[in-house]
Amino acid sequence: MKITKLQLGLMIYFIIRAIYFFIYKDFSISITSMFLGTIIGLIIINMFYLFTKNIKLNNKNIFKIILLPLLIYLFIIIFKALTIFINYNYLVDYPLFIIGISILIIVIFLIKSNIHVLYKSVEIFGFVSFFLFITSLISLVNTTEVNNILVNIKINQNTLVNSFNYAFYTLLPLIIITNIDNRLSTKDIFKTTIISYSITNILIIVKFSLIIGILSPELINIYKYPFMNILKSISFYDFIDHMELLFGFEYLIDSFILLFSLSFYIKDILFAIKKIITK
Amino acid sequence: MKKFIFLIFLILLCSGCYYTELNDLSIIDSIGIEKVDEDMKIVMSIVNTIDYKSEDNIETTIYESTGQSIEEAFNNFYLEINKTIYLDSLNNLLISDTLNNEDISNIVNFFIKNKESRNTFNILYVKESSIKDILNSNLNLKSMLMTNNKEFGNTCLYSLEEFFSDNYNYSFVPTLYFKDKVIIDNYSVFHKYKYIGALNKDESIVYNIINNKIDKLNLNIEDKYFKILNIKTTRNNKKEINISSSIDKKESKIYNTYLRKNINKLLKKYKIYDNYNIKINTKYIKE
Repeated sequence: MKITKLQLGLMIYFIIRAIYFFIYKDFSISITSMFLGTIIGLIIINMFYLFTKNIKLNNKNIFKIILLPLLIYLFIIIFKALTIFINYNYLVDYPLFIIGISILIIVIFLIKSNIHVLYKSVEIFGFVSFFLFITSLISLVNTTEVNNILVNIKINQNTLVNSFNYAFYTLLPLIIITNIDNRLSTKDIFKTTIISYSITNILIIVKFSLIIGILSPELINIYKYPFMNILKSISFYDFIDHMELLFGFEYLIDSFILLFSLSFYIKDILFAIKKIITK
Repeated sequence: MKKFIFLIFLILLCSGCYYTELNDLSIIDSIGIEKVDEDMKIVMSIVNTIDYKSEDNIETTIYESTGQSIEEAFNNFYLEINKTIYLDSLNNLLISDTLNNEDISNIVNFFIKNKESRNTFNILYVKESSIKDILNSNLNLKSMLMTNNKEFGNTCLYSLEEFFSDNYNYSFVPTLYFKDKVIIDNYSVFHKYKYIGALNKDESIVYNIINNKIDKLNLNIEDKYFKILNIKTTRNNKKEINISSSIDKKESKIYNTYLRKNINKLLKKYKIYDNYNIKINTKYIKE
């Protein structure tokens, strides 16, 4: 079975979103920095492609072994973030370890199967996530204060530092997934990465604009999950309210897919190491 | 077979033990806070879930509790009720004029930092009356304010999040009082949670017009009756306010002078948009 470009593109979309909302978590950044960060990211992807065109990184075992600690580190961070997120928003009275064990059981259950299962579910969840994104966007656009967004578009001494920071965080997962996967040709991966990276960043900026448009800067600093708090204002004609847990599913999908893909790659690398040892 | 064992184990983990039944929650409709002899007094109206008929016809029971701080007063509720307090469905928060700015700041912080609270509920200021009287009247305060905004136009819904965000500037909170029955007054003005004054009817209407919180209104200016069916305010980045409304061209002059006079008066008094050099353009659109 072959992985399609759509599946890879959606995978990149989910992983960048998970990194932004659960690991990077800087909501006081300016929109200018995010745009600059995206452009810097695109330049770095191009340069990376030019330099590594003839070297097949995914076949080099040393590269994989170097990546292993980074993958494990990311896995632990996202696992912790996801457990706390579920405990805070969904299963409030549950002890953390029960939520953690439940997530680990699903991870173990999934890595026993093929990676195509993950890519197929990414494709299905892609449509669900887009539907939730667009519905929440339509219902929240009315409550957004445009002046709050205009105030945020500014350039100051921190802009460049913040944009490099943003680019680093959003590129981090790309290095992992585009180099370990040897199921697509390098040219295809490069093209998909560029397109998916740009679209994902634009969508993240749209989501970020909603957050700063609805909440004031003071509230954003106080709330633990401002992206969940804005969902509380979703209301369709004052008739359908209290929809935040349904729309928050969007973020659950992101973090789960990052967690699953990381566990798949860790499993791959561990098998590669096992092969080297048995040789 | 292994898969099934996994799944059964997962189901056992995710259900049962830590679930709170709906019957074990006390669903709160409104909370009122006032100060009595240096103590905080909280009055809560809890929805009678057994006699629940419809959203517009909620029957509530009033509970009272006092404590030195707001946290202590909330804890003291558990001396008389057997259900967990559930703040997620809260509709109204009433703050009394007996509270000072520090108390109001503590109350706002209590709700903002409480993860169970939604913070999109309405905040109301109660002057010269007891909160218990207002809550005892068993009125749906939210729909009362919405109707007032739609038909009369001197108040509008104002959430706790807005109150928190506006506190460094000026916050305009709808006001209530009790005189044999519950009556809606105009806006009360707060600066850094400190009460600094109240707007009159004209000022309140003008405040709603410049903030685009009003769609239609009836006005009596110089013994002339105006029925305006469509008001739209836009604030562009050039720091201008444009107001378009549907009104007869012949009478437009009176309406225009009224608006200019009152808007300038309001802006001078409270410096609402200090960094805005406001220019008012009134445009008339056909009904």
